[in-house]
Amino acid sequence: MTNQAPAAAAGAAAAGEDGRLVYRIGMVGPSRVGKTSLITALLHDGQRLLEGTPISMKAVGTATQKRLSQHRRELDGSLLAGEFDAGALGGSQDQFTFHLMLDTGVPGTGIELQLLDYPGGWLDPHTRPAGVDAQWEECERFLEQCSVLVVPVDAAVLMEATTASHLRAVPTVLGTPQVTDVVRSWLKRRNERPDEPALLLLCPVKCESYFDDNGGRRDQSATLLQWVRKVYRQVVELVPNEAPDVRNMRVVYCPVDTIGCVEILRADWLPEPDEPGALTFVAHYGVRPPGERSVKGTEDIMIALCRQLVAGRQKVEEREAGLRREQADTAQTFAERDEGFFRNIWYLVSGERRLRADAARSSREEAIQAAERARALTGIVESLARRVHSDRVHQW
Amino acid sequence: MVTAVHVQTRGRPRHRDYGFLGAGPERPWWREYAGHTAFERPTVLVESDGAGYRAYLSGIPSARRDAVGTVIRYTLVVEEDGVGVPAVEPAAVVTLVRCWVSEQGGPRPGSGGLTRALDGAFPEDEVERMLAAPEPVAPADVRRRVVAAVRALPAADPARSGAPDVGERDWLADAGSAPARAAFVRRVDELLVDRRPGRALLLNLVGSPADLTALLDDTSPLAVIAPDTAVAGPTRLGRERGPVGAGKAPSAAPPRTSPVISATLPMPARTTSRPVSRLWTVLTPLVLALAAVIALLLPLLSR
Ligand SMILES: Nc1nc2c(ncn2[C@@H]2O[C@H](COP(=O)(O)OP(=O)(O)OP(=O)(O)O)[C@@H](O)[C@H]2O)c(=O)[nH]1
Ligand SMILES: [Mg+2]
Repeated sequence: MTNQAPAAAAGAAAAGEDGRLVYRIGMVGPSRVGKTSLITALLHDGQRLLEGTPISMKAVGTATQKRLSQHRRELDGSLLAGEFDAGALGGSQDQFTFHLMLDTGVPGTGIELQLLDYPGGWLDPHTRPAGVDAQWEECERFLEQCSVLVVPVDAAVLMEATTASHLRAVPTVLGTPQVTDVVRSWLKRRNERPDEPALLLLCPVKCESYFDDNGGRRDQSATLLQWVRKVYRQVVELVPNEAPDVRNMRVVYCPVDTIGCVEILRADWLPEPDEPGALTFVAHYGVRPPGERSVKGTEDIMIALCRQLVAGRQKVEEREAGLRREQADTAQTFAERDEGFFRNIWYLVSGERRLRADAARSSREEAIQAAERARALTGIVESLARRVHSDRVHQW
Repeated sequence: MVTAVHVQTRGRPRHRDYGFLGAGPERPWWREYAGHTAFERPTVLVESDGAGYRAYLSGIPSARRDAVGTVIRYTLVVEEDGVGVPAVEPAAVVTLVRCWVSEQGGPRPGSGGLTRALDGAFPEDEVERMLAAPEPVAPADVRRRVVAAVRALPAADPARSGAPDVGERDWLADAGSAPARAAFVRRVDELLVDRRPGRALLLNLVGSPADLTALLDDTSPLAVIAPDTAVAGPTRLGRERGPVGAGKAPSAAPPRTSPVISATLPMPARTTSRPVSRLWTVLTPLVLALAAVIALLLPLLSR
């Protein structure tokens, strides 16, 4: 499994080599916000979510598997010490596309999630290292083409800002101007495909100290929500302005604990040398006994993703029915006209149909099983989509 | 000057993100391995074409931390075009690799020898000054500091003494094994000091020979070590069909599309020619006997 640069031709979702659905998800956030941790948590928790079903969530390819296990090991190591040494986990140094699979065990079926990760420093032209411009452009292309954009937000930065000077530093620390730019480009692209469902996820991370539903003592969730609304107001307001034509656009607020068993002890706002007025935010965490990782909130992300897939599927089926009436060649039309999300959902739908036809024709045991597995995947996506979001979630 | 030495690191403040001290390498050639290694974790890439070489070492932690408390890393890149007298002894680069690779074994990888040496040569205030300087840092300054860091490294026996020879052209071994690391350093020494063509790579996103298929190259032998692999001992990488266990003639490698087969090799192994010649001592009488039988039978059959 190689880490190919995000393909220029990548649609919002693209067909995998063997026809399975590839679902691309973009992340936009500054250095140290928690992008890599969020991706790792998504797999960690996705596996739990699918326990006891015929579907599993797997890392595809050695590179993704190794990255996830290395990250997990380092995190476990930094928790062992009793005090959580957040700095021991160095940041990312290169772009990398994680490949996760909702796997049915049947070749040619399944849904592959591709998540692009990159060093957050690339986001800001001032901190972007020399020589990575071309790579950043590839990342930008990938981000524009995703039908889902995730914005991780450092909850501690918002919650621990107590003075006017702290508040003035917040946009720089969170990189909100750069995040806003990426969201704007993404929305413009979405508006070019108004039929495709689009999803913007605002995900506060490092939330464990502000909720009381995952081992925490205080519930400050309302304050966090207020702050996110305030600081990301501009981002949210871009949605109707930049993508007025998109019929199915959702903005979901979805706080996540990627570690869970830590608690903020102290926060420092330190002056930046050579930058008058600028402050750096440093949080110190302790480990809550027994020190076992407890991911929270990723289930809500999965629900939101599944709802998006279901919405896409409905749209594809409607459109397909329309095409049939016109006696057009459906396959040709989907292949040529809808090179994005729709075409690939259509691949998924038609793949399932093919398996059902095979099963009906041959009545062989394996064919029947394959069709059942494919149906199970659809069933699970639909049932996840029907699940009610936790109390943490707000839809805007 | 024929040897370019580049150092990449970052400063403490937020805006002083990772960058090369002075001009960086012309081309980020190491990115070819982006699917096989995470550069933020220990990586070594050594490539030689028989005349010049290039080496990349990354994931080396500094004791310095950035403003938010994150460990700062070093990346070193050395490039030599093979023309004229090298400005840095190839043996010094072997020493760097040996030191970094030796820290990859044991329960706590990265025990600090290279970290201390580099931090000594690149003190915090000077790194900040170099990263902030409006004028690019002089290449000779960076080179001089890296050479000083090498001198500060603990001396070791010459790379080859006691190092086993894997006896294969292309192999993968686990970085947790001390003999494998020694064999790896021996290969690096052959590439840099003896100027043999080939590659020696410490990669961290590979687990089995199959993950390395895309890197096999008939013109460039490949030695790889990686942490947490599925291989028990050094394992031959190859594309040829046929029995596993006999030595492999380098020239006989068929096209890339054939499946990868691999075999765990005894360690230490002898040279490649030994098993081949042993095979011949068995095969030659058989072939001769067969020829004699055919010679006897032919007149009978033709009658
Ligand atoms: N307390 C707490 N810390 C977290 C959480 N998620 C991430 N972190 C820590 O935040 C730090 C940064 O996380 P990363 O996932 O490496 O951040 P990133 O956005 O990938 O950073 P770059 O690679 O530098 O862009 C790490 O030390 C994480 O352990 C969380 O939910 N709670
Ligand atoms: Mg990262």
